[in-house]
Parts: sequence; C-alpha cells; structure tokens
Amino acid sequence: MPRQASQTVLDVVTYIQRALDATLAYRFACRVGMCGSCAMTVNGVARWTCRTHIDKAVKNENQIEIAPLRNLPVVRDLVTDMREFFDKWARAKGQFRGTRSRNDDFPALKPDTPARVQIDAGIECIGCAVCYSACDVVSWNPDYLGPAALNRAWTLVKDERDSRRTERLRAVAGDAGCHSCHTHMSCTERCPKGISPTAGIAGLKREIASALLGGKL
Amino acid sequence: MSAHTGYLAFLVHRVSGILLTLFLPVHFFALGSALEGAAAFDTFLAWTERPLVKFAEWGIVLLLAAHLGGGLRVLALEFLPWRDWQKSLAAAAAALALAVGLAFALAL
Amino acid sequence: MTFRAQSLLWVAQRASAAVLALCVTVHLATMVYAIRGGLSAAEILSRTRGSVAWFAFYALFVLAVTVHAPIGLRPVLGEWLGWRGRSRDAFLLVVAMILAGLGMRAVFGMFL
Repeated sequence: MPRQASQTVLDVVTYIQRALDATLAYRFACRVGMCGSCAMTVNGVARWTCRTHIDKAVKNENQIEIAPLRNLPVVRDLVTDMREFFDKWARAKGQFRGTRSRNDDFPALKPDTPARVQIDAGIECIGCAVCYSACDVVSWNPDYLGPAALNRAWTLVKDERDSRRTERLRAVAGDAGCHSCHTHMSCTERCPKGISPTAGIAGLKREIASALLGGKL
Repeated sequence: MSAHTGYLAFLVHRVSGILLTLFLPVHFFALGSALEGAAAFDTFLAWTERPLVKFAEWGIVLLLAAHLGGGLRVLALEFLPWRDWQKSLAAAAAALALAVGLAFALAL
Repeated sequence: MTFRAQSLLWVAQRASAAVLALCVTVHLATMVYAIRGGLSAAEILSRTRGSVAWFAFYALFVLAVTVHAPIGLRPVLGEWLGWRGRSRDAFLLVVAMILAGLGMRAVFGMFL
C-alpha cells in the first residue's frame, strides 16, 4: 500500500478496508486522539492507532502487525467485545452517588486539596481499555477488575461528596480487586492519557488497610 | 509483552521469591543438624567449603538481595506518596542487590 | 476466602516484609562477619548457645518467613498454575507448617 508522510496505523487500517478488503471490521470515531475507540495491539503493544505513526511503529523490513486488543473476546477481525471491561467497571462501583439534592447548596470544593489533586490525576480516563489490554494480571486472573475500573474506583473513594465509600472499598478489596496488582506498571506505561492506575491502586490498598484495621470494613 | 522496567522488576522479584521458598527448607534442615552436636555441624561446615557450594551460597545471597530490593520497591510504590521517579526505584533495587551480592562474594 | 481475609493477607505480607527487611539485613551482615573470621562450628555455637537475644531474633525471623513465604506463593500458584480455591490455601498452610517446624528446629539447635 502507498506510504505517505505522517501516516498513522489507523490510516493504514482504513486504507486496507477501503481498497484491499472491504470485509475488514475495526473501530474508530474521532481519529484525533480524543475518544479512544481506535485502540488496537500494534506490534504487540496496546495503543491508539490514530496516534501511532507508522514510522514509529514499523519493525524490520517495514513490517507491522495489527491485532485486536488483548484480554478481550474478539467479535471479528480487529473489533473486541468491550462488555467485560465495562462490567468490571460497574463491579468496582465506578458510579458516583452524592447526598445532595438540587435544593441544596453546591459543595465548596477546593481544587488544590491533596485529595482533589489525586483525583484529578486519575479522572481523565475515557475507558479505552489500553491499560486493561496491557495488564498481565488481567490475562492471568479472569476475575481481576483491572486498572481502569480500579482507577475509577479510586477517584470516587477520594471524593468527599460520594456516599458509597465503604461499599466501594469492599468491592475493590481482595483477589479480584486491588490486592492482585503486582506493580508491573504496564498500565501506567501505556496509558495514552498519562494516568497512573498503579498510583490509584496503591491508594486503594492503603485505604482498605486503614478501614480494615479500624474495623470499618 | 513488552519487557519494560516495572515488569522486569516484578519478574526478578517473583522468581527470586519462588527460588528462595524452595531453598529455605533445605537451609533450615541443614542448620537443624546442629542439634546433633558440634561434630555434625563441622562436617556440614566442611561441606560448605566446596567451590560449588560456595557458588550456590553466593547465588542464594544474590537472590535474597534481589528479592529484598524488589520488595523495597513495592513497599515504596504502595506506601510513599506518588512521584514521577518511580521507575528509577527498579534501578535502585537492582543496584542494592548487586552491592550486597558483591559484598558477600568478597567475603567468601 | 472472604475479601476481608484476603485484605488481611495483604497487610500481613507487607508487615512481615518490613520485619524481614530488617532481619535479612542483620543476618547478612552477621554472616559476612562470621565467614570472614572463618569460624568453626564450635566457635559459632559458643557464641549463639545460651543467647536469649539471638534466639529471640532468629525466632522472629522464622515467624516472619512463615507468614511471608506462603502468602507470597499464593498469587504465583493462582496466576501461573491456575490453582485457586480451598486446596491451594490448605497446601499453603502445610508449607507454613513445614517452614515453621524446620525453622524452629534449626533455631533451637543453634541456641539451646
């Protein structure tokens, strides 16, 4: 296929589907590095294909291997079934539930409190599953909730407005939860948003230990 | 799976842990022979003078140091405030392990 | 095993790790010192026999190992051998007993 300047892996996949094999199935949306839909495995590494230049990705003899994301069932070709990824998000109690109603005043949240700074470091996650795909513990332990779900849980655990803290700590503790993280840090290494799920997971471990030893779990 | 620093540190930590768990019962059993008195222990100590045994001892010390280094890295990651130099912890752990291994090698 | 018990395992693992970090450092330093001196059995045993301090130290060492090694082995068995459930935990308890048994035998042999 024709090589062009500033060509991305997504460009290549798109070309293949349009000119070489119309049956090729793949996902993309924004194609500008904002939505995370185009995540695939490129030469063994999970990444956003719209943000991966061919020049940076090719190995010897202009070879490039494009595969679907790891750790997820394949629907067809390069498309994976994301249901388990989001189910685990829900199992980790990744939903916010506040205590105020529309009739109450806004809570006064300062952006520079330690808790808020930590939350902000993890809050930009868009659920692209690159970290989930990169994590070996996810491969080895089918029940493991994974870095994204745990990172989201962390951002909510630290949130003073949320009312489900204890419930959430219970949901993310144990073999299926944060305690199975072995700090490989593949998630942190690969996250396209620069988030460190390892940091959030370490935080969860500390919170659970305090709650457990304080009889609050 | 890309072999980046964190993954290598984990692997060294896990493998050294497994090998140590296999070695320790042997170590304890050998020491327990001291129960039979100084003579049996001397026989044992004489056996430890053999070069292959000395090499194995050095290997075990290296495993211990590697495992300790990896363990300190994990403790730092889990308990200390998060910083961007986390990756260099793996290097520090490796350096520590090497230093201990060398010290022991010199002593042997 | 409940998530609470699993969380407690994590706490025990980190606590025993901290204890071991100290014990291992002291042990290695002591060994380098003893080996340098080319000590014989009689010499080593004369220093260790009857010493309550050394007994307490090595008993603590063995206890920390008995906690740390099986808990460390647990995820290895689960993740790399696919061994989970009650049988794994029963096996690890046996491993702990063996380590404690052989360890304390050695400690008693050296010091009493």
